[in-house]
Amino acid sequence: MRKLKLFSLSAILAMVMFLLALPVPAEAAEAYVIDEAGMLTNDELLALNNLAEEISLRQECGVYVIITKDMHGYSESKFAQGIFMNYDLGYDRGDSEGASGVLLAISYGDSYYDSVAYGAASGTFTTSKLDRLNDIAYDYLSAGDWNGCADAFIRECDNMLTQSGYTYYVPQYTDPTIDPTEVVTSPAQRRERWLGTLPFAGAISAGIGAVSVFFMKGKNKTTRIAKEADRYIINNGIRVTVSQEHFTHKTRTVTHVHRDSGGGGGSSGGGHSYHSSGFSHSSGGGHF
Amino acid sequence: MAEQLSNYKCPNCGGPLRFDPKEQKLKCEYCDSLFTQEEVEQFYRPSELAAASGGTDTQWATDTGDWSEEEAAHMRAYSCPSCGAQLIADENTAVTICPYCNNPTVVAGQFVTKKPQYLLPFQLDKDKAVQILTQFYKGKPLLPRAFTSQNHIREIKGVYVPFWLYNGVMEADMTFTGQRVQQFSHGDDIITETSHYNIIRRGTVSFSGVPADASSKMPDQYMDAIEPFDYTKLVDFDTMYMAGYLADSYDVDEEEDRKRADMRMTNSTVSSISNTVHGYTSVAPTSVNIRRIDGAAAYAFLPVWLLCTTWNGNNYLFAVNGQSGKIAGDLPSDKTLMISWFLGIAFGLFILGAVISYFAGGGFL
Repeated sequence: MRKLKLFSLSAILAMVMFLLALPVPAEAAEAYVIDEAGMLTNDELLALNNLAEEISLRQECGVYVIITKDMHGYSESKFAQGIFMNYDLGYDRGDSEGASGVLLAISYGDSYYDSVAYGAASGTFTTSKLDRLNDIAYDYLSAGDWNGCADAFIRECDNMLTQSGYTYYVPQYTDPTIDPTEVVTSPAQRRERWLGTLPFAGAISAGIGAVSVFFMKGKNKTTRIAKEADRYIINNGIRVTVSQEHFTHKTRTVTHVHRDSGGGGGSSGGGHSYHSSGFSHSSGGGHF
Repeated sequence: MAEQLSNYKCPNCGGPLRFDPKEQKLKCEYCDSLFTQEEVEQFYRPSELAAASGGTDTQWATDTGDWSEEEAAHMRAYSCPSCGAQLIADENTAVTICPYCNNPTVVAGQFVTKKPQYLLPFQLDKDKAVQILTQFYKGKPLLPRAFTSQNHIREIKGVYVPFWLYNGVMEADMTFTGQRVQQFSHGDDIITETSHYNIIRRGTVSFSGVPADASSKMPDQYMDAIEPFDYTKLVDFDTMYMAGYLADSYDVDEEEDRKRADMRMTNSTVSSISNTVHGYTSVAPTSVNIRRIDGAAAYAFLPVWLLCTTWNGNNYLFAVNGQSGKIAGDLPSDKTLMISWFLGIAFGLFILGAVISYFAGGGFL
């Protein structure tokens, strides 16, 4: 009995510890350089983040480098845009309006990179500037220098912002919307979604546990009151003397079915529509 | 008229004879000699007295027999001051513990019990019953371990439980409404046609040997749960089969028990007659009239191995069909084990679900 109590206490303690150990979304400092593919060392990541943070706050323009494992379901033309919006990037003054920033997005698995600017930064990072940034990135990436690529990108952004006389402002356009069914890309989003599944997992697990114990308890009970006597009906003991069936009436219901005569079905045009006004694009990313 | 023996001593050594379920013969406890009933009867024929009512009449009857003086002289009656059970046993069978409530102060009582017409001899011996009970305890994860270790399985008792066996003919007069549904399409319309019918069924259903235990001490759900008994092995009552076993005398009369038998026969009649209605999409009964037009009952002893055990201040009764070995009994469940199993399963599944969800969602660490 003591062993059982010990086991119960251990199970409760283990559950509590597991719940306490769950990663809780923290109000952590904003990440400017994210490496999902593990191409940077911790020291490099820390140094790059510090550099990007200092420039971003000073220039009032977020400067970001994000290395993903794959394209997260985006086409090449939408890759940098999608990452920018799904990671909720951009500098603002705390009111979540008028985000401004520039991003170098690199897909390690696809050897693809592209840069994009959004908000007030799109005035500075024109297509030609973004192409220039892409060229710098290519030089380093083709040499396998991931840290050098991020470092050079961040510093060149700082130069471009300074030289262009960039000042932060809130542009007069609506932020582009992201299809809610779009692939969740950022770790924070994935963590949030995972945490959202835990109450359901807990409820289902508790339900299955309760049903299992109920079933086990049922195995301990084998007595029952008999309600019928089927097995005591003698051979040929069922005699039907009257068997009549009388038709009384008929009812009829008609359901009209609307048939769509148009062929093909199809949707009204798929894909995501981004407001072109918010972003400035390079003339195209490239492979390294 | 059958002749019956009521006192059995070994013709070889004079030791007490007991009915051996394995051999289906009388066996001497001292010298292990085996005898058929005929052999023993032949040996003791000069001193026998004709049994009073152990006839071979196979008709069901509601009357019960009386014991002859000779039979009664070799039987002993006991009563349990705790649960009120009235037990009988032959003079060589010691009764020290009540098989129903485990009370150890069973006292001698007055021999007033009625004699059954039929008896179903034990087919399972004590060792087999113990084996079945031991097996029953296995595979029960919530059963407290202390329960099995403190359980005195060897104290299981062979008891002839009194039963009323009912036969009867039930007459049914039932009406139903039935629907047949057809569906077809016509242009852009789906047309559903439902034909409605009134259905009449009348008939009879005949039952034989519906059992109802006639002892108020025996919980009905136990005896219902160990059914069925094979009545083809029924024999006219003979005290020979009592050797080594207890018997309980009935204290629920035929009329009282008949209500339960009628309820079971009525339910089966309704389902049997309802099953003769075929070919409809849906059927619902509109009137049901069932009555018994014929019936009778016989008083019989049926073999049951009983174990009553006390654990944590509660009595637990187990019954094993002395013929088929089917067992019934409600085991206790350990609350600590229940909580442990619940937490173990819930926690394990939760962790598994969380891990699967983590990887399915692409991870984030």
